[in-house]
Amino acid sequence: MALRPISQMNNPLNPIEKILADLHQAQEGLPGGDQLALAGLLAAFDEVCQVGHAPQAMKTLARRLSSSVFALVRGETQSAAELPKLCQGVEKLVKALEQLVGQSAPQMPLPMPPEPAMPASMKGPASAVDQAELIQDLELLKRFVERQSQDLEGFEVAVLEREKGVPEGSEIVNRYLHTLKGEFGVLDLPQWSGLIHEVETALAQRQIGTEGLLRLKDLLEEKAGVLHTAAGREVDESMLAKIFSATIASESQAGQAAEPTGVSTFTGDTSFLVDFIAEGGDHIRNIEKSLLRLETAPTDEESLNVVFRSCHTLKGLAGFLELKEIQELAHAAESLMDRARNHKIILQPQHVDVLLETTDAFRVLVDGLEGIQEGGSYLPPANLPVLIERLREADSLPPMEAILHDQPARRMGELLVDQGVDPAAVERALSVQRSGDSRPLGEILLDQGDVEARKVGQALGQQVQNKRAQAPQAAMGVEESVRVPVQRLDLLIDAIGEAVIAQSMVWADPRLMANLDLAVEKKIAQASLMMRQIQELSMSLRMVGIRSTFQKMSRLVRDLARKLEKQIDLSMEGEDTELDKTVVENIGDPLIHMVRNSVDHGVETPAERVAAGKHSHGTVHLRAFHKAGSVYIEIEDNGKGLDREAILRKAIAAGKARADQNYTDSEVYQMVFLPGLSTAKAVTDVSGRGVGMDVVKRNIEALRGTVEIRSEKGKGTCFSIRLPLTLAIIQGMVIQVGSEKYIIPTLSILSTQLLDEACVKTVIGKGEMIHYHGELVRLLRLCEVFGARPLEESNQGVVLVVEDSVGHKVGLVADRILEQQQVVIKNLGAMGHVPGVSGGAIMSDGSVSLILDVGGVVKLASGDL
Amino acid sequence: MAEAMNKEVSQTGASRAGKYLTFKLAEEEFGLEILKVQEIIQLQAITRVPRTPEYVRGVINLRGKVIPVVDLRLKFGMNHTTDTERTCIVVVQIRHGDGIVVTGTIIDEVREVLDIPAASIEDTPSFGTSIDTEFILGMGKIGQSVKILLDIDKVLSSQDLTSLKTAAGA
Repeated sequence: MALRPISQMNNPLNPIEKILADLHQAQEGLPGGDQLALAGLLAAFDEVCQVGHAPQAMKTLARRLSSSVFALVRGETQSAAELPKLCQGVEKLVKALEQLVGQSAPQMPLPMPPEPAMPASMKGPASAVDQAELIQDLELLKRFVERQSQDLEGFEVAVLEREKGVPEGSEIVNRYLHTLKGEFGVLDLPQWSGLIHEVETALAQRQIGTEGLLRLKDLLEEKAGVLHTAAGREVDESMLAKIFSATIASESQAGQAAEPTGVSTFTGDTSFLVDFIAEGGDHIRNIEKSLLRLETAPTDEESLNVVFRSCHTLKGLAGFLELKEIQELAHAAESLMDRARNHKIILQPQHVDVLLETTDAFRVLVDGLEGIQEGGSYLPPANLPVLIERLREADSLPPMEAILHDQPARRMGELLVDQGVDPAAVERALSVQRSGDSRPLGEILLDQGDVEARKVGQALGQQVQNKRAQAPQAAMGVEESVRVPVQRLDLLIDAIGEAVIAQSMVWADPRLMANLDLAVEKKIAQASLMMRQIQELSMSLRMVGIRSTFQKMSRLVRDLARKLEKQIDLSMEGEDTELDKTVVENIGDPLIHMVRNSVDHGVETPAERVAAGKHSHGTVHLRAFHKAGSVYIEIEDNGKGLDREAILRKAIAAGKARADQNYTDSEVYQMVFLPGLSTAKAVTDVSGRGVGMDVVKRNIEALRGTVEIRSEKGKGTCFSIRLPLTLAIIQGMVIQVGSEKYIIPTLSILSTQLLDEACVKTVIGKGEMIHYHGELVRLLRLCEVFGARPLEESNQGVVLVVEDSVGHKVGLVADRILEQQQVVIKNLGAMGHVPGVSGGAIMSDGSVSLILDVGGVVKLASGDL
Repeated sequence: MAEAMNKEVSQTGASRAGKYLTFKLAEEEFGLEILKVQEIIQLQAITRVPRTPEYVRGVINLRGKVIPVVDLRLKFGMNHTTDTERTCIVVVQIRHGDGIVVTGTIIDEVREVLDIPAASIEDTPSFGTSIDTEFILGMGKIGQSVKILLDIDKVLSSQDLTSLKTAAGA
């Protein structure tokens, strides 16, 4: 597919209409086999291939027709037989084009990257243009979109890392863009792949930076859902303008007009071209395959040789055909491989990356040659010079350094000794190193001639592998996984939960316990152990890492800090901490609120910070960890801290606190969660309306978690969220209510005390009240609320002080507290929702106990009044 | 598949023919479509659920699943008697929206499984019983005795459970 500087590119208004006109014209002469008509057809077909937003299938058809015209002209086929077929094909193409014109307003074609070669057989026969086939494979697209939502997060993180100058970041960005381009190509979204291509080019030429990439991410995120629609397929100017800032957008347009400078003319012999394309494709595939192997085993001789040989052959072939771009590129790659092959250097991941990019460039070049004629032109990838330069740089990288100086887990020397190198020689080299020689050990040994390069290479490979094994998470997304519907997973977890209960019922059966001998006991113990393991495993199935949630924050902090003109570094810790899927899904919003708060209210402006004697950069630290059966997520900043007095003043003014009372620090800090209380002096669009924090608290409580605040004035604030490991199990207090037993979640109990009937006051309209730490708290007798049969013997009740859903304290009266235990929550099945009850739990004796919903109980009782 | 069959059975009159599980409540005999019956279990400890209608006896643990148990005597407005050793729980699968829910029904005594031909099934007479005829598929005549064939989906629709619950709560 050749991209030629044709006049029509400069007059982009309606390329398709022009093609249509040409085709119509040619159609008239076609039945007679008119040479001029055939030539006109060829030109039109060529142009179809260049229309940026033409569907892949249409281009395939055009290409196919084009080759049959060629055959006709050369006399390879009988015109009598071929012409009617050709007429039909042209007819089809015309129809498809007309549809396209109707579908979308003609627009600027984007400079198209040559699509991944897609043989006609893959796209089906000529009927491929039928509307049915124009709609791309939806299933494929769906999967792509699903995957993108995850990948985009990774992309964003990489973009931010890239900004900080982390080399891996920019590598991931490049690789991601490249993959994306290819994927869009496969998905038959040429405009999108064109867009990505432009971004890639602009990035290589440093025309866009972090902002542009982030906007690209936003755009992709926004459009992912509509890619299957006709509108979603299109990339319009406004999107481009969004990514490339105004000046750059004009540049890129200019770049299109000035295309000829980037276009190379093919001057070689066309007759060999077809062979070259086929053979070149094979070599490229070989190189790629071997490179991937080299990534894990950098010293694999076989792979090194394959890559070297293929590069060499490519160079030779390209030279023969006078394809100087391929020749140059192949040469650069070859010399790098030569050094690797001769153990002068050990391939490092950076090398492999550059080489892989080179492979991609080869492919682009070779694809560009398809269908070219002598004197025809093709478009070399824009990053070619950069790539060649990088290959040369990679070639001269100081060998091994990066790896050796990186505090390896096992020292080089030890590994070498394992490889059979004389320990004395290693010792000698080490002493050289100690005496101030900064070269890596391997190199000194090589110079001393004590060791073969191959051994050093193997040891290095070993080291790299050891490191990978140590940090399996370092490589993103390599963990293999199987997608399982959540429902099926839940069924499995349920079934296992049932098995555990059944097992404990056996174990607790008194008849069994009565005549138990040691052998049976052992067997049962073994079975329980296995059961517990299976249960733990089943619980872990629903666990996902908090990483992606954390990663969203880095973007948030960056954008906010910029907006507020603050300098803030975000650091994270424990991103791999795992939490129940539901918790992870629901913790995002509260976390965003709290991070916003830290950035807006916590960290001061650089000027304020310097004035306070702190570093102008503030920090926000996100942390997740396990402790005592719970998961903690903490957001810590080193800003100005909470202003205790201001909060108290506000709370008193709002009537939520009393002036004459002494509150502890943590009590005062908890007041920031009260609705309508904001200490921000000005309401900004970031925060300060006082709605955020009470929502945060409610969301976290809905996940059965708690929030605590630690703060020191002038030093910073730390919000500590404590969450249960899983939503399926709660810690519950078993209470006796009349003749019945209920479970009340331990987390919702503030305190318990014995009920002193003498202290109970009856307030008209409000029912019974007691004093609790100076407050009058309403008493609810659960026995009455639930209509349970009261106990026959009289006993002193207990008061469980709880907080209802709006933060009012309520005392629930039960007859006694029986025990505390972990229970698995079960829903009540066909029972549906029962007011005051949040679910059931199966006790160790097999009976069911109901779990109290504190808020619901209070509501129930209020309904009674 | 069972569900599809159930639908078929309850939709057309002629297809009322089939196997029925018969049981006793007080002095009357009833029939339940066998396809709806999941299992029959012994009476076990039932946890009362507060603020539900009287005929909802509570919930039980059926191998790890919590299911409600309905006392059919009370549901049909019969006198409450103390449970005997013949009292048992028939676990039925009833249609609920698009899915199936499992509910227990307490009955006095299980009798037998009968194959009742269409010819022996008559439409519900509109007189004489204390039972709401909406719940009845038809009357099965077996020899001298008459068995009331129940449409258990209607008897135990869980919408019914909730609406009565709120009524009781108010």
